[in-house]
Amino acid sequence: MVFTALVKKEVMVVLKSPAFIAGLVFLVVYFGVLGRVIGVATEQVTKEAVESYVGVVSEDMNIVTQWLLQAANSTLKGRLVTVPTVEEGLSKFPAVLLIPAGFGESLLRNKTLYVYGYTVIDRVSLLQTSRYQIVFSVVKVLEELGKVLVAMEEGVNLSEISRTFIPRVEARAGGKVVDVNVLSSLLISTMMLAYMVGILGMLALMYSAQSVATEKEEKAFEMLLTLPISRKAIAVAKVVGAVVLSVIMVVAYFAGFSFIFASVSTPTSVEGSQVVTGSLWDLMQFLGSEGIILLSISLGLMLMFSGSLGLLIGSMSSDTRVAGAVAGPIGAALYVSLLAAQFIGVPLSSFSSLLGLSVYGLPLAIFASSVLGDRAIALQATGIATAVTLITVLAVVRVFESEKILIGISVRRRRQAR
Amino acid sequence: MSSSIAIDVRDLVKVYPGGVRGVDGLSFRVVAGEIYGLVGPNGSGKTTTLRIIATLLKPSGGSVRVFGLDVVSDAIKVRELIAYLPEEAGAYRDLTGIDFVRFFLGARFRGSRLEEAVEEAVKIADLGSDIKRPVRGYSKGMKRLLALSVVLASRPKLLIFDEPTSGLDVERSLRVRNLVRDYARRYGVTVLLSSHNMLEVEYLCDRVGIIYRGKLVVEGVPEELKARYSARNLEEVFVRAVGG
Ligand SMILES: Nc1ncnc2c1ncn2[C@@H]1O[C@H](COP(=O)(O)OP(=O)(O)OP(=O)(O)O)[C@@H](O)[C@H]1O
Ligand SMILES: [Mg+2]
Repeated sequence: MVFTALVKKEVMVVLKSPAFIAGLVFLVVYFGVLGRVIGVATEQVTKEAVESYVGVVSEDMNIVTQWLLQAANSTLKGRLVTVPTVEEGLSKFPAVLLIPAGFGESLLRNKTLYVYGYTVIDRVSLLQTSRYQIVFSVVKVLEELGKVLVAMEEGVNLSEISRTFIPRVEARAGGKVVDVNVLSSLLISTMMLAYMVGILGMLALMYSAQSVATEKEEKAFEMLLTLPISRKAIAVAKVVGAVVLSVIMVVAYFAGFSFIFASVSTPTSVEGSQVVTGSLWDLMQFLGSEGIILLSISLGLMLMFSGSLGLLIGSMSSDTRVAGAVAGPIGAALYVSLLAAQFIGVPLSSFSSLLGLSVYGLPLAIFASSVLGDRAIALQATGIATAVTLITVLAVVRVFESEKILIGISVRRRRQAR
Repeated sequence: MSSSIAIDVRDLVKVYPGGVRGVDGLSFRVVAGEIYGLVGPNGSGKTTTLRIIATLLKPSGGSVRVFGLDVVSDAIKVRELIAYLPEEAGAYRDLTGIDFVRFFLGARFRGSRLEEAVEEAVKIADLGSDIKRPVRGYSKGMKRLLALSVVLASRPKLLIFDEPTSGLDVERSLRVRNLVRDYARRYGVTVLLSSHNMLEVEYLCDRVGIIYRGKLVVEGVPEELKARYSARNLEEVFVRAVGG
């Protein structure tokens, strides 16, 4: 009896908090919307992968090749469409397969054969890998049929024939041509980097939100605020303090992360492609010194943004419970947005610079800019993220200069004036 | 003229978000060098008034001047002249008492003057070797003494105390009262305090203002008030003023 009352009290003290309820509602709505967006993106890609046609450019007039393509086409239910050039094919289909001259002849003699695939990548998204996996699956079909053909030609058992078709698939991203395996690897590295940054940001956010609220609970805050120090100095010192503490956390967490990072590998699902691993080192090389500098700046900005956002939450909260109830959902939302980004994808266009608006998305924009070879995107995105961060810092200063810092924002129910 | 008026509160109104009127048309003046006591029932607006004078809250109506300076537009200058002891004053849990003292006094003093001030605060706090322990382990009274020591050692022109001796034992309350009176006389400091302890108010204050529901009901020298209400002590004055 007493025990149930105790449990009830535990739950009620939290549930009765308007901040907690607001946070809960926000999470449900936000995640609902995000889930829907991811769902639509995934659906689209799946449909594309299952139903799409593949353009075929055959530079080989050999009858063997012609037969092979025909047989493959009927196996794939007419999804192969002959096109005159790769360019024309790419303008109509997500992927194009190119059979090089002399393919038919070498099929009879060589064990290893090369075919070429082309695809256009217009967003940085794990789902877009399905585009070039279409090519891999077509190549697999060709390989099986090729073996049958050779076995018939030589009059031997199919099991005695060994042929390997190696797909060389390039992705065209903007003006650049990138090997898809390299792209996948870089993509995975970028996403992992984004997660790391996201976790650190979340920690910085939670930490600084709690820290102001704790200071209020420690009851030293009012004395601090009556010192002859400008509120701006107090607020900025708090932001800097939050960043310093986050950096200390970054160092500790980074050591742990890099260990996980080093041991993670993501095998792609389609046979015939290599096992693709994310490597931070490869990513650094790909981005170059300019990219690395921008990436470091983005880390700094993100910490500063998280720190000030946390302070903003903490300084308007009356205590640590409210601060936690508000900062938790906001941190989770920022982090889940990053998770969602890999499915929704980052558009490979000048719009990628808008990712800077979220600050957390800045590493993705820098990556997109490197893939496109367009440094303006990275610079614009960094500029936007800097502006957003500064606005947040200014907002913190404004709150510190107002009395909201002491009495919080009014989430209480309106009481009757006496 | 304005220099002899330390605090000038005029038609002060404070409406909290949510609509509660914390102060509702309050006016009073504190003359430089005097000790003024603000008394009134719970929720009558004492803390609200002190917080506005200490530049922590902004008035919704009326004006407050401290030594002629407006608490809103000249907030920083006002803060240079005042030291405020909040109703509940604590310290950073994981710092030691001495670290806390040094941090707060460091905002006002430098070099050897800072060392003097720290020494003075340590003497006032009188916590012995506990001053070197983290505040986490302090009792309520110890925290109060620590905060009080910082406020006094700040040597402002105006001391604002929200219930200075709340939570202190009889002996320490007496010592603090004497200290406050001493500081006021010796350094010509003006003191504004709120209290529920009529004994304390009678002992310390040159003048007393009784506030009720955010308004000043009566004001005067303790002796004079007792005579006016034909009361034996301030407690009776209080009851009659508020009840009647
Ligand atoms: N942060 C706040 N938000 C809303 N209303 C408040 C807030 N602080 C105080 N009030 C209201 O303002 C009125 C005056 O409160 P105040 O704290 O000034 O009283 P007080 O005279 O100091 O009381 P006590 O003797 O209990 O300390 C009360 O009705 C109180 O409910
Ligand atoms: Mg009070």
